[in-house]
Amino acid sequence: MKVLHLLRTSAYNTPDLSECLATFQPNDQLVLLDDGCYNLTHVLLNEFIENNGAQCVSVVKDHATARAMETNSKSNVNAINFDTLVNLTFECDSVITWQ
Amino acid sequence: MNDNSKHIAILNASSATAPSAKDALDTALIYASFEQPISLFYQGEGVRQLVNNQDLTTIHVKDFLKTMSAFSFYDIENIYVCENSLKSRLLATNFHIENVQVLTPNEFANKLHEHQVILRF
Repeated sequence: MKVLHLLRTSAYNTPDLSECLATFQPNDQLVLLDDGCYNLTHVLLNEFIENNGAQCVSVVKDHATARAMETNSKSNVNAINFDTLVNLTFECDSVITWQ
Repeated sequence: MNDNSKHIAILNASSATAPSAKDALDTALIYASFEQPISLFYQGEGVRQLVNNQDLTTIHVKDFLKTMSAFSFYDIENIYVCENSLKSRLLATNFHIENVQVLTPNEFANKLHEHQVILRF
């Protein structure tokens, strides 16, 4: 089953990213929102992207912008709007919110 | 039980002293009392809920952990714990409840993906 992971917290102060990635499987999607946007600079996420590619990782653009987080960095993470986020919830079989 | 019921996973990520730990237990028991298929997963700090010989009353917290012994009464039989979370915390596998399956991270992830509804506490 395809799972959508919504990550709302920062790996700089919670283990949520680590635990999320431990359950991540091929075809899953990861969306960073709220403080989850801070993970764009975290080594754990960057290692994950190096090993798995950035196509499965997105960030809510407005949430990143509000936090002055660059969305056009080298990592090539998809910057999405809320319409796209809603569409993702329909494309996946289930959703886990990491918070 | 309705075969079309969605399989629900309660993913416990909080230690026993966190309010969300009891919320997770209450949610699981409510679903189970309505005969919904429930599985319990313990990961990260959540594995501490299974540690034997805890006594929350010494810190004036209601000892809801004792309620977990009623899981079989509620037909909650699928209880999974992440092996890595136990090892990284140097925790033994003699839990205060029975029928806990210790899974490798891959097995844990695979099992979680079998559920249509996943609630993380």
